[in-house]
Amino acid sequence: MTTPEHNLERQLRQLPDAPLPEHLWQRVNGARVRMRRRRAAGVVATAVAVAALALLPTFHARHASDPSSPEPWPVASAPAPVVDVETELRALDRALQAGYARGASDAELEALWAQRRRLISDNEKPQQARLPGSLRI
Amino acid sequence: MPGPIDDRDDETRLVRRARKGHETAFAELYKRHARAVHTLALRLTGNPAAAEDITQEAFLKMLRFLNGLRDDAPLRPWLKRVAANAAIDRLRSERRLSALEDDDARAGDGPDPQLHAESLGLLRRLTPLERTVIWLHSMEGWSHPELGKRFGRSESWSKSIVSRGLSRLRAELERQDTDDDT
Repeated sequence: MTTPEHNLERQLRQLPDAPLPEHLWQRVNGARVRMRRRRAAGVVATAVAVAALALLPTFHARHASDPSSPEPWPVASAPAPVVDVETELRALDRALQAGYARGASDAELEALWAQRRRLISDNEKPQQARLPGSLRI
Repeated sequence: MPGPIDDRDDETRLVRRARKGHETAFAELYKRHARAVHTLALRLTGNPAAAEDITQEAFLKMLRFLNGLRDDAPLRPWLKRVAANAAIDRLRSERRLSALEDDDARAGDGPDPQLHAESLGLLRRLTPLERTVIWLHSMEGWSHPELGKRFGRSESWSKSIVSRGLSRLRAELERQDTDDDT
């Protein structure tokens, strides 16, 4: 038996597909090409960010051991690494953001995430040790 | 458009190659799915320009968006879901929802019917909101809770939209049948 509902559904299902505009392929492919160019520019930005990140510890080590360098600023010993970690975290986040924007490979993104996790994990141990007992997680 | 690719190329490989920049792989995926995605976008929006925008965005998302597009999942449902979500976002941003509540949105709102009368046909008798909700529920299998959530409304809201729209469509079809008989 054909109910009005079935009849209506059948009519909806039988609606013909809309013809695909001929110019649409050129438009979509053009957008794809432009997106790839932007991603290529992102690769350069990421490479610069990662290189800067890699050089950061070396720079700090040299700077600290250079006898001709001026006296270090009189800051407490504990907070200083926190500032460095935050800088590195921000650089990693920028690298991740750029990676996602340009569609980086899973392996590349995972390496950045692993580096980020390691950084946080390394930083958490002394941080927690410094916290009063009531604040430790 | 570039020529076809060997049939043995499965979609997972095609997507991977397209993401690496192979134009032929991208062209093949476009050839397979663009019409379905464009038709859905046109049915939901009733607007040829919006349908083209949505089709383009769905295919670009396929290239850059990893989350939600698993290797083993069929591509077409994913593309259609992206297109449907984009159409809903447009509908909501155009404030047609509130217009409907004010009873301002009428069936047939949209561009010149001559442009796409053949493809939209029956659906032009519905308001934009009814058209979107009814099509997604009846033809694409979206559930009422899902539709309610996606529109920021309730499950019963979705049921009410579908029920009201279908009643009107049925009445119009019956009236049309009667007119044809006389």
